[in-house]
Amino acid sequence: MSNELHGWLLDILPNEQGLTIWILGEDGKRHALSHDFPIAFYAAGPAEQLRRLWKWLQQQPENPKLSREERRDLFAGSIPVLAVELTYPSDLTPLFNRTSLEFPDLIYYNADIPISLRYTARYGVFPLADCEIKIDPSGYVTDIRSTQTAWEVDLPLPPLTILGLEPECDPFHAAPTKVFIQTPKARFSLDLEPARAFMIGLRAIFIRHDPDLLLTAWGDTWLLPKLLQMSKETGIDLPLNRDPDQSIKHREARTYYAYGQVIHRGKQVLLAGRWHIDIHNAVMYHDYGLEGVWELARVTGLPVQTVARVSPGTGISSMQIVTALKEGVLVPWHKQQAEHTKSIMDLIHADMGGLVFQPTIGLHKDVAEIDFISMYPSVMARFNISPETILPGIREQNTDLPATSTEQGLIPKTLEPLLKKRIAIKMQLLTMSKWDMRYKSYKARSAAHKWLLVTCFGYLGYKNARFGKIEAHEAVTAYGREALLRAKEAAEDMGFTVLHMYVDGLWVQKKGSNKVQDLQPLLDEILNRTGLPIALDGIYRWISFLPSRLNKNVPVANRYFGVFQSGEVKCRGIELRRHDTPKFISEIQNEVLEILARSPDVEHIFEYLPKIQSLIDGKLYDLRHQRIPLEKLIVRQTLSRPINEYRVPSPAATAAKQLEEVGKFLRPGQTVRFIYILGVPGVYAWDLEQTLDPKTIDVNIYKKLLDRAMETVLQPFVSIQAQPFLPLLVSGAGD
Amino acid sequence: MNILPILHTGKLILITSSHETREQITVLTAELALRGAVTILDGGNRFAAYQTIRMLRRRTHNIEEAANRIFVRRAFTCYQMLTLLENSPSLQQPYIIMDMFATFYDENVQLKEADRLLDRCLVQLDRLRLTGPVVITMKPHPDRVFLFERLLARADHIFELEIPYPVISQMALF
Repeated sequence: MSNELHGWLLDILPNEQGLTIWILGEDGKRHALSHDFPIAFYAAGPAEQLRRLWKWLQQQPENPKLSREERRDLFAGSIPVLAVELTYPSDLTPLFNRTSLEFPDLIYYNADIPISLRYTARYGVFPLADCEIKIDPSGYVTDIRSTQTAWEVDLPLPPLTILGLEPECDPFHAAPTKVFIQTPKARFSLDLEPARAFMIGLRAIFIRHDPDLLLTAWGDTWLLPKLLQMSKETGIDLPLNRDPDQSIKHREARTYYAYGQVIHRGKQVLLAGRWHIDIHNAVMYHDYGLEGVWELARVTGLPVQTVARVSPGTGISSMQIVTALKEGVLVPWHKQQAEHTKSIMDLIHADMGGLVFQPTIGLHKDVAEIDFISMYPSVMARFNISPETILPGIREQNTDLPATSTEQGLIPKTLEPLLKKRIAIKMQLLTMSKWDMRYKSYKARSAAHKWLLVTCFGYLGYKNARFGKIEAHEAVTAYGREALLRAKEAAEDMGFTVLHMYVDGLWVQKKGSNKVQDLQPLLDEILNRTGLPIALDGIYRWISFLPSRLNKNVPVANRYFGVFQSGEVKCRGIELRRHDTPKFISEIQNEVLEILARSPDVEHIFEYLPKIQSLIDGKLYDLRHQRIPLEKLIVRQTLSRPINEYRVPSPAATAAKQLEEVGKFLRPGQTVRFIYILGVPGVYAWDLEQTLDPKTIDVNIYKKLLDRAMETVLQPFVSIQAQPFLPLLVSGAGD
Repeated sequence: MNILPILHTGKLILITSSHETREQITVLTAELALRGAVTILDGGNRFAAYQTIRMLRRRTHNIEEAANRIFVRRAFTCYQMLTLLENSPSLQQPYIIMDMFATFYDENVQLKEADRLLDRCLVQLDRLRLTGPVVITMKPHPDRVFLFERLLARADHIFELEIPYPVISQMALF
C-alpha cells in the first residue's frame, strides 16, 4: 500500500542511506522523503589493469557491485568498462578518490557528476518541478515523476517563503550595527548588539517563517559566518539548516582565469533543506534576479543555491551531462581528446573567430540593425556541430565548410529545446506590453537563457569542458562567418548598403526603407540563404559609428550610439557601458544621450546642443563646489594580479595597498573602489574607514574624464553644427 | 641562439626562459620548414602562425610548399598534452614542443598528478627522439620546479634565454 504526494521538488541531498528529497507539498508542508538511489562510476583501460582494479575493489568497505559492461564513449564508440555500483550515493566520492589514486592510469567516467543531475536524468524531474510522488509505508519514495517539462514556457512558481537579511552597509566598507529583515509581509531591522537579544529575535523569526530561501546581502562573505559565530558565542542555536541530519557546507573563496579575465568568487555558505543566496556572490544576479535563478535551476537541473553561484558555463555543461546520461553516453572525468594534426595553412584558415566588417565612421540616418537570433547556438543546432560529429579534415563540397556526420550530436540535442524555449519567449516579448505581469519574468528568463547559449559556444573550446573539442569550436565560427557573408550578399542584392557587420549582426541602410515591413523581405531572404533565424533589432532614426581615439580616420568595431525610432537609446563601447566609469560621468553621458534622443530627426539635433551645454556647465559647477555625492565619484576596478606583482602601481593597486595597510585584503579578481584626490598618492581607497574631505577631490581628473565622455557623444554633432550645409554632411539614406 | 647544428636524431634540446620564446621558435620553425617537415605540439596556444609565414616569405618564394610542411597540434590540458605525445607517430623529422608545461601549471592539477603525467610524457619523448630531434620550450614555475628539474635531467642540450635588458641611458636633469 503506497501513499501519494503532490508537490514541488525543492532539493535533493545525499544521506547515509540514500537520498533525502525535499518536497513542498500542495498542502503547504515541507516533506523530507527518503529515496534509494544506487549510482555507478566506470573505469576503462587495459584488461589486465581492470582485473587488478576488480580485485582491489572487492576488498573495499563500501562493497561495490562490480560488472563488465559495454558503454558508449562519445568519441570512441562502444567500449568495455568496469561498472562500479554503489548502494549509497555518499560512498561514491571517497571510494572514487581512493580508486583514482591507486589506479591513476585508467580512464574514468561518471565519477564526479552532481547527484541532482543524475536524479534529473533518471526521473525527468528538476528543481521546482511539479511532481507526483509515490511513497511506501516506511516513508521511502517508490516512484517520482514530473507533471511538467523544463521546456514549457509558463511554469508556475511554487508558493515559496523567502526571508531577506541585509546588513545596513557593506561590511568591507564599515562594521554594520544592524541587520534589515524582510519577511513575506514586513521589513524591519534588528540591532546586532546586544548579541543575545539579536540572536533570540532572529531565531524566533526563523522558526516562525521557516523560509525556503534565505536571501542575503553579503551572506556568504560576512553575515552567515557572523551569525554562526554569534550562535556559538551566545549558545543560542539558529536553525539555519532545515535538514537536521546535514551540516552547513562551506566553500572557500577562489580566484581563477576565465573568459579572458581574472574572476574572484567569494567563500560560500550552503544550507541543507533550504537555500541560501547571497545577492553579491551570485553570478549575473544583477542581470536576471531570482526569476533567472529559478529558470536556470529548471533547465540545468542544478540545485537552486548552486546554480545561483556557478558560471553559465557550468550551467550549460550540466545540461550536456544530463543529455549524455539520458542517452547512455559516458561522461569523462578528464577530457582526453586532443586536436588533430593541421598544417599551418589549415590552422590559419580555421582559427579565425567571428567576422567583422568595420563600420563607416560618422552619422547615418534610417539604419536598420538586424541580428541572427542566438547565432552560434543556432549554427550548432542547424548544422549539427558537436565534438563527435565533426569529421576532421573533411569539408563540405559546395561550401568548403567543415563537414559533420548526419546523426544528431550531443550538443545540438542539448541546445534544441533551450533554443526553442528562448525563441518562444522572445516572440512573446515582441508583442507583450511592458505592463504585462509576465514581462519582467520573461525578460529575466530570456537573459538567463542568453547567458547559457552564449557560453555554450565558448565551452566547445574550453579546456575543462567535458564535451569540448577545438575543431567543433572552429567549425561554429566558420559557419557563422559564412552566414554573415550570405546575409551581406542578400542585403546588397536587395539594394541595401551594409554599414557595419559584427559577428552576428548587420547595420543596413536603404533609401525609403525605414519601416518594419520594409525590412521583412530582407529578413526572409537571409533566412532562406542561411537557414538561420534572424530578427530586426530596430530601426535607428540616427546612429553614429565612432572612430578610434588615437586616429580619427580609423573605425572601431562595435563602438557606436544611436536612437531607435521608438526613442530608445542604444550604445556600445562608450564610457556609459564601462564598469570603471564613475557614476557621475556615466549619468551625465546618459542624460546627454537622452536629450539627443528627443530630437525628432538628425537635422534638428543642433537645436538641443545649448541644453546639453548648460547641463554640462551645471554639473561642472556642482563638481567644483563639492555638490556631487562622493559615492558618484567612485571608480571601480578589478585587480588582475596580486598587489606586489604590479611593476608600476596603478591607481587600483595603490588603493588596494592602502586597504592592506589597515588589514583589508583583496585578491586578484576582486574589485577595489577609489576616488581620485589631490596630491600624493592621488587616490583614496573608498573602503578606508576615515571619512574623505570633499575638498581633497581632484576636480581636474574628473573634468578630464567628463570631457572625454562628452567628446565621445558630442563630437559628431559639434562638427555638424560648424558646417553650413548640414544635410550634405549627414549620410542620409540614398544620399 | 642557433640550435640547427646540434639538431640531430636522438637529441632532446631544452630551451628555458622566464619570458617569451615565441620569436626564437618562429625562426627555428621557418628554418626547419625550408629543409623538410616539422611538427609543433603547442601546450600554450601561443604558436605564431602568421609570423611564421612572414618569416618564410623572407626566406623563400615557394611559401605554400614550405608552409605545408609545418604541422601543428594544440593541447589545452595536461591530459591532452599526454594524448598528443602518445598519438604522435615516430617520424624521421623534428618535433618542437612549445610551452610544454603550461598546462601542467594549472592549479587544479595536483602536484602528484602532474608528476605522474610527466612520467608518461617522458616515455613518449624518449620514443620520439629515437627517430628525430625533439626541441622543448618551457618557462619554469616557482611552485612546480620539479617538472623543470626532471626534464633538465633528460635533456642533451640546454639553452637558457636571458631577458633582454633595456638600454640604459642617462636621465635628463630637467
